[in-house]
Amino acid sequence: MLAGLPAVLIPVIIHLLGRRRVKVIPFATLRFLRKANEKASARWRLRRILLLLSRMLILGSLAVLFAGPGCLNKDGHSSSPATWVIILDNSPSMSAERDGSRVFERAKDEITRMLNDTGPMDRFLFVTTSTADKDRWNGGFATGAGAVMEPLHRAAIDYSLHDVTATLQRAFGLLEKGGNNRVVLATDLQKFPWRTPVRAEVSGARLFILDAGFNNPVNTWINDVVEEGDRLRVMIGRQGGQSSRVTVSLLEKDKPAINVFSEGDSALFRMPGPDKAFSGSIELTPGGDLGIDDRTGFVPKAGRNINLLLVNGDARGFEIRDELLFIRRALAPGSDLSERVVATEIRPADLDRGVPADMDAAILANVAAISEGAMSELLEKARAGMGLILTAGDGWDRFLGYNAGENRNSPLKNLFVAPLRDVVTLESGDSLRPPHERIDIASLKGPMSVFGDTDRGDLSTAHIRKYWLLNAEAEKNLKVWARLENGVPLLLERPLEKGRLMLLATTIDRDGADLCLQPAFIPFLERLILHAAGRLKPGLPQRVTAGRPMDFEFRDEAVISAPKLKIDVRVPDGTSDYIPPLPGNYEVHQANELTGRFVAVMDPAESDLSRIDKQELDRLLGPETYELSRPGLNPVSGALTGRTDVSSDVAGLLLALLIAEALLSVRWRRRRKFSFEDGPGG
Amino acid sequence: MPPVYVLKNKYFMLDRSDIMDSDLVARLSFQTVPGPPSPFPHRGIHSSPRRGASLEFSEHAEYTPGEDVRDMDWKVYAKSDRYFLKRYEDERLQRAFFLLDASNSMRYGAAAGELLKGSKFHTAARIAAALASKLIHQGDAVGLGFAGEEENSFLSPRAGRHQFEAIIDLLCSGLLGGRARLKDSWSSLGERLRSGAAVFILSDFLDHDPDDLEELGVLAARGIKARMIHLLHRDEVDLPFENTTRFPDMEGPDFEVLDPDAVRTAYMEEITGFARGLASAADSIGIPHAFIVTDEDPVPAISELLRQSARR
Repeated sequence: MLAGLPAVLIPVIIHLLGRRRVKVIPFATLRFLRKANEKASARWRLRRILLLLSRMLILGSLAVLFAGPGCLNKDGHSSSPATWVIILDNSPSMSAERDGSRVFERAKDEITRMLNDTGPMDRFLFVTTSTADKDRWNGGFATGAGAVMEPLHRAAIDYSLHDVTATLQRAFGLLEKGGNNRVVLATDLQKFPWRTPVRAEVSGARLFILDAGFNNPVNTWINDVVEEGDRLRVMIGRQGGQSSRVTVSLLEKDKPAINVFSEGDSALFRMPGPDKAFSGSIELTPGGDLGIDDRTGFVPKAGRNINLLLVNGDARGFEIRDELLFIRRALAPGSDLSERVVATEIRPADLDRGVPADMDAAILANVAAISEGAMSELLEKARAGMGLILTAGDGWDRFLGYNAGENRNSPLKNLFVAPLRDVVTLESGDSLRPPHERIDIASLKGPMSVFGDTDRGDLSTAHIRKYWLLNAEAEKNLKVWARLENGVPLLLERPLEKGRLMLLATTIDRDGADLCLQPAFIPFLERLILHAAGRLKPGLPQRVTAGRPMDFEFRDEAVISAPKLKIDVRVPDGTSDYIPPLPGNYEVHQANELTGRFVAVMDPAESDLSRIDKQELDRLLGPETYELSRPGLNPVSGALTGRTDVSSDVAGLLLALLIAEALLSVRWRRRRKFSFEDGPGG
Repeated sequence: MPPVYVLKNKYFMLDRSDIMDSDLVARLSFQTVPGPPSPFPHRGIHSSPRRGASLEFSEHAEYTPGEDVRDMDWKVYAKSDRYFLKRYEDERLQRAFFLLDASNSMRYGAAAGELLKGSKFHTAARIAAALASKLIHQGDAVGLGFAGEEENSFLSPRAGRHQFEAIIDLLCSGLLGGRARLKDSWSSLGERLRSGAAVFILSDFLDHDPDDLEELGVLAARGIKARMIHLLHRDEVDLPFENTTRFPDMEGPDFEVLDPDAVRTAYMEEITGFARGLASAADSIGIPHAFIVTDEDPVPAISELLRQSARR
């Protein structure tokens, strides 16, 4: 930087060289020259020295000026190496951009400029405000600003949760008491990440906030997308400025865009296409200072109706005591269940023609016998994911030997969760009077556990008078979701690859219990069907927040990918805390099949660029506990780095020296011409 | 090698055309070079009340009808049968003498490649030639001499065209060298010139102080009227040089190395004081004085000199 300093010798060299080469001019007489020289020499010697000095100082000042001079200021901290914690806000709001200038880059540039002024023995720790990086505090302090330049330049916007105040508090906690400690935070002063008060517990630690944000940020963004039947409502977020008209566009591949103008907080679309379905992206223009929240993907709801196969084992058909009478009632058009469940009813013999395709669940009510082929097909469907529920009935007695017959070897037994052992009939002339068994509410588990809250349905009101006993101990993987008060398993399940086999150990009609007459029957039935169809667990969410855990459990290993974002991650079975790192469209593949899609969006709170005001800063940090500087408007003060920029002083000195040189140098002066009349005594 | 003109075995440092400044002569033609009064009202321009035997015979002039016959030289008539009048010295309207400083310092200002052309001596020679032409034209006697260490001819004051030509030749061939030694020259002139002569001294006077002019007062007491023409080159008054310069003395072996910028102001004070000192000293002893810088028009200064001379 001071490489130009040897230039101060140039005037000396010129002076020395000049003395050697002199012009020779013969003169008429030396008399007056000598007299004049005697008169002027004393004056001129001093003048020449001053002239030489001023020229040397001019060149020296120029060299120093170009080196960017600074000197240590007088405060006591500048006498020892400083310890710095440099905090860079890398929250999504730092992506705000205006006229080609991005806040994040401005913050980095300011930190870099500041680092260039620090001392060689200063120690540094660089962290970001992202809470996702658990190891960020483990790096320790490094000597010299160069150690933090690389991580600084590598730092990128992160979509996880950001907590500025917690980061500040932790930074203060790292610093040793009494040292020359400084904490620098480069941020856009967005209000959102400032959560809790901060107290610098370490004496001597000084906080400097480099405000890299825009003074009056303005932003418009897509807040949410909501399906309202056959319509799609796009919620619009606005911050700063007046309500201006925005254009919201639905964009689907190979289809023209659908545009809606809005000056409010939403835009409403009718779902396009004959099937009134939409899958594409939604875009908003103009979007304001932040651009990443102006576009989002859209994934339609995964849910479709449950296809339920009802196999009526009751030979009596549609009589009042028909096995499926009450299920039919529960599924009657207009009922809640009917909107979600599409039922197909057949007889057991119809199974010989093949099990209907695309069935999500099947209820075999009091089915006594099926063919081998039907059994095999049912099992195959169950393994593939269809839930198979057997409900008990008189036809099962044949399996227990009371009515000896060929059914003991019926293939149906392969569909039982456990071998049948016995049947218990509690004879009573009045079904409401004992003896009867009740369902033990405390025993409800799994899908039935919701009925522990009797507001969901009180199953304890049902009277069970006939139930079948199974040899449950014979099966290791059995799950018992409900028991009678006497401990007998009532609802059992055996997992079967992708599906399940379930068994209700009493009748679904009034033959063995009055469960079908209870108010809780329909919710019980719904839950049973949903569980059997695998729809009881929530499906893949449509929209999740990037940087936050999805709170969705992946059954079986899954590959989560976002090709445009170059993300391809394998998650094991049971993963429930996968965090999509970036906003965008994701796909889920399981067993090499596409099983779902979801969209990760930025936390809408980050879109609101409202800035924290000084009053609030004072409240959180304490008044006069920090210094706030703004890049480009207030140069980093000497108080920040311990060094004072004396460039202006050097420039002033340079100007003074130039004036002095001009005054001392007579060359520019207009030479007085000899005039006999104006001479001395004239 | 500067041009040197050879004529009749003499070496000329200047060319006649360099010295004969017809413009200067023309501009001076309206001036009268004053001198003692003449007894012959029709001859020359001066009038003189003096008559009589104490006058020294100077020459014969052919008689023209109407002139006074008292000065008829009858002896010449007897021998030649022609009428001639005697002329006497005090009848000469003016005897003028030009004393030119021929020291080395007068070479200063010579143009590059020239010996004397452009120098102070050249200017002095031009002025002397112009005044001599004027004097000769008005019928006066003019002489020329040099003050210096070189051997130069001396022309006693005579009238006539031939004298003028001789003056020009001498100016062209004047040799410069050494110092001026004006005081010696003045003393010599006092012995050579008779009372009533006017001596024009053309010099830079650089070797002299105002006190030296007292000698001219002595000459004045003898009736020899001195007129000073002080010549300096522009460089000698302004010192226009830049950067450290070595100044060898043109009249000796010494030199000075100094920065002209450093000493200019003091130098100008000195040179101005010197010039004005000389002027004051000349004025105090009644000697008409002109100061001429060689790059200026000399006519105003010379005109003033002639006016001063007429008053004294």
